[in-house]
Amino acid sequence: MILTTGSTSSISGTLEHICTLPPPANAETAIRARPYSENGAVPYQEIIRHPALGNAMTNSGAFHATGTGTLIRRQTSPVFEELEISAESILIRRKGKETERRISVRLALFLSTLAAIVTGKPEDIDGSYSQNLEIRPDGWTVLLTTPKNPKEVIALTGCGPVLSTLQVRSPNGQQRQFRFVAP
Amino acid sequence: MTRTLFALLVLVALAAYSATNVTVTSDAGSVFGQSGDTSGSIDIELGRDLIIAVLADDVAQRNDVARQIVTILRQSPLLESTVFGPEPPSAEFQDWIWEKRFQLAPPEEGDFDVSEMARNLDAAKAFFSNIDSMAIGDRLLLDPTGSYRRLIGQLARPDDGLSVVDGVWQSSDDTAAIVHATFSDRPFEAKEVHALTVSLRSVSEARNASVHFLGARTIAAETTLFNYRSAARASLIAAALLIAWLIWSLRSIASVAFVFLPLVIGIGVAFLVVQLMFGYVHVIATGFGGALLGLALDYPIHIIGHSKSARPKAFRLVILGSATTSIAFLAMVGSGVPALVQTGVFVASGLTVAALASVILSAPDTQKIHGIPLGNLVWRLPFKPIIEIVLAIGGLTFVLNTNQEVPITIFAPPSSVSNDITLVAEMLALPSGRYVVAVEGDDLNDLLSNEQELAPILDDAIKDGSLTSYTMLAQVLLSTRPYLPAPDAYLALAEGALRRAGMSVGFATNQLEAYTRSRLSPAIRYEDLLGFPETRAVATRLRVTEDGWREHVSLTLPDGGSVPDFDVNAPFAEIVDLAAPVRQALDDIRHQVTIWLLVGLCAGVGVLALGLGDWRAAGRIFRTSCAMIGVTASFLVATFGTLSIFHIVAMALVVGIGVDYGMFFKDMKDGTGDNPASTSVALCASSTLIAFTVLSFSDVQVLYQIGVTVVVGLFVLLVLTLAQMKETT
Repeated sequence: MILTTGSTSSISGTLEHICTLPPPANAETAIRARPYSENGAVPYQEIIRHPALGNAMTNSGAFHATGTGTLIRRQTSPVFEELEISAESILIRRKGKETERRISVRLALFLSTLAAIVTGKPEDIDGSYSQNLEIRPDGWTVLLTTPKNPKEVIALTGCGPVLSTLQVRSPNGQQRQFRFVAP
Repeated sequence: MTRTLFALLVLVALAAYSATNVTVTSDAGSVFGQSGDTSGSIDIELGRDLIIAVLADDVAQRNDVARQIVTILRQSPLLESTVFGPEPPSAEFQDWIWEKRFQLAPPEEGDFDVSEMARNLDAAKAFFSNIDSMAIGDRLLLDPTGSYRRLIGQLARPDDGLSVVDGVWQSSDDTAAIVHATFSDRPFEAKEVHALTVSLRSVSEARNASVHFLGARTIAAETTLFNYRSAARASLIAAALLIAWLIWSLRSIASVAFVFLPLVIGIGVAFLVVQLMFGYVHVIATGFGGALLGLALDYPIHIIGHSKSARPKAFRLVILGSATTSIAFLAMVGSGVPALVQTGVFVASGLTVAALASVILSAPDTQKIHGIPLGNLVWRLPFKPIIEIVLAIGGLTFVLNTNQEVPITIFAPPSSVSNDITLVAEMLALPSGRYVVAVEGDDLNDLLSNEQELAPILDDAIKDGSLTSYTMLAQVLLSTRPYLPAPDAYLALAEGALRRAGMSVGFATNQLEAYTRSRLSPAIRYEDLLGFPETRAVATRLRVTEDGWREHVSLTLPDGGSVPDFDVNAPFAEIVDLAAPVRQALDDIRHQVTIWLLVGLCAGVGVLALGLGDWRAAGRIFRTSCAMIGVTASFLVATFGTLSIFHIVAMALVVGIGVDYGMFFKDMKDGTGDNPASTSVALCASSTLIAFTVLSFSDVQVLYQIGVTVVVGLFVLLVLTLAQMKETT
């Protein structure tokens, strides 16, 4: 297991560490990078930035891949919320209640990409996405864009074969970054 | 022989033309007119809806079958859309409600209080720990008035009350998975819809599940094919029995062929004339017309029953008989109902041509007819004229006093379809398809305001147990008039709220831009609601005219309740029976048919009197016909509770038969079996009875009603006519 500390910079590109591992040959190889995991769980910190919010907000928890092809996102802070993401629907457990519903197209594109990346099945990423790889001193970045949702950009960053963050940027200035870090 | 060959050639030509050019339709507009008031058409938005219930004990199993059905349906060009569970709102719809939020959930003055706005911003910030914030978090921050948050909360209410398991709707009794589909906007074809339902049934049965359908198009398809097959079966049985009976009675294939040839030519010409005049032939015209043309079978029988020397007179009576009946039915043109106008033209042209063909074609030599001569059944009825008048007036009085409202189904569905309708309706606790509360308002906001006043009345009805639930627009949309301060004032308020919530004050300019856009957004139009799948169901309940907005609030009545047992005392709302316009239209048609057939009957009697040169004889025939109508109509009302248009037109057929019998009996002096009229009328009556007795056992309501009417009417007619004969002697 390769330990990382979430060494990649924030989306602004500020260098924190130099990545000494060899960069991936292309975008296809880059998106096969795996996040830190322990006992099958992928811990994360979700950092939300919004023009209205003075300070970034942080949610945290862990992802769990199931054998049935669904991905469970178990958020533990600031409030408990469990999300079971499958191909067509999401099951939300919150405040003792369980709600299942179909996913909107906008959310489905992001969640399916998230599930594909976290579970190590990049082939499940929607075929409409185009992938652009950027190599930088602190690691690499793959930008995923799709005409199905042209307003949003998904950015994956990593160092060598390790995926550090998955970020979604919206045109209104909202950014959500999942940092895959050791707790 | 040359004439017969020529007739056969005409027949072949007619058949070839009909096969390629005649179009038979069952268009409801030809019955009810094109006013659009009679909903339920298979071509309107609602008529293309389809609900499929998949029954299986195991939830996973029925969900799998439901998904498989959806996969099949999504590949079928017959279907426009198919869903098995709640669909997420489209991006376009989300953008639309965002823009229209101040109209859909108008803010009040208190919503612009800085502390209230700050509280909304705090709540929006906290919402960012919720996955849904990915979709709407930004907009919650952009609208500190809380308008958008309230709107989302209202829209999130489950509107159909169905639970969802594994993403698939479940029936309220938890026995079935539910699929909702919409047929494509293309011409209805019964056979292709039936083929689709058959394939879905076989898919389900292969996996130990059963499917049940509820939709106007599936009901229409199953009913049409059921009626078609039942009618074809009844026609084949009747034709086989008729041919066998004629062969036994006439003992001559040539004579049997001569009997059928004028009828077939008459039917062919009738199709041709109606097609050329109207461009299509309505199924009601073919149904009525086909049965009425059965009268044409009698003409050649009368002719071959007479000796060569007596034939000129028989020819005259046949022509007179057909003219009398044709004029009576041609009067239906006055009804103004396209399908019935066609029926009149169909019968008049068919009968006239059949009578002419009977006269022109070379009839075989005088034919001995085997059977019981009616002359042997003569009986004496003292005071017959008085009795007949009493029967006519008494029958009319009984009918007028006991006749109930006309049923609204012309072609009743087969029992399997009725069972499916009942089963699925119970599973889904569907709202009443007949009663709604109509609410009116000058505009959308006025409508919503009135509905808010109506809601407590309906809530009380729920508490009383006379109503289970209701669905109205005001349950989803709020209705107060918006309070929208000027942009400058709003900017200051927004900055204050952001400051108080500890957020970035600069974001107020973003909020102002969003506020201004929604504030200036054009008023919601009815067409907007039609544009989104999410609001289409609401739109179907709405009517927007120059006078304002009107909604039909749907009502789910308690088990066993079919009529609302509560009042709505409000000037802007009333309980409406949706079936009333259809019932009224059918009732109007029934009246028109009755009046015009009576007019035609009077005209026919006039022609009869002129043709016979004997007003008293014509009067006797008319009197007997009226007595027959009185007795038969009373019997039908006592049996069916009401007289349908099929009963009425079938009685007119019996009158036509009665005129023929009356004419041929007129000159019979002694009533013995030697008189040709006695044997030919006996054969006519027996063949008519055979054909219509078969129809009276049909599963198809229309055929059943026509069959019973003719059998009963003919029996009464024969009894009275034979009594008349004795009186004459």
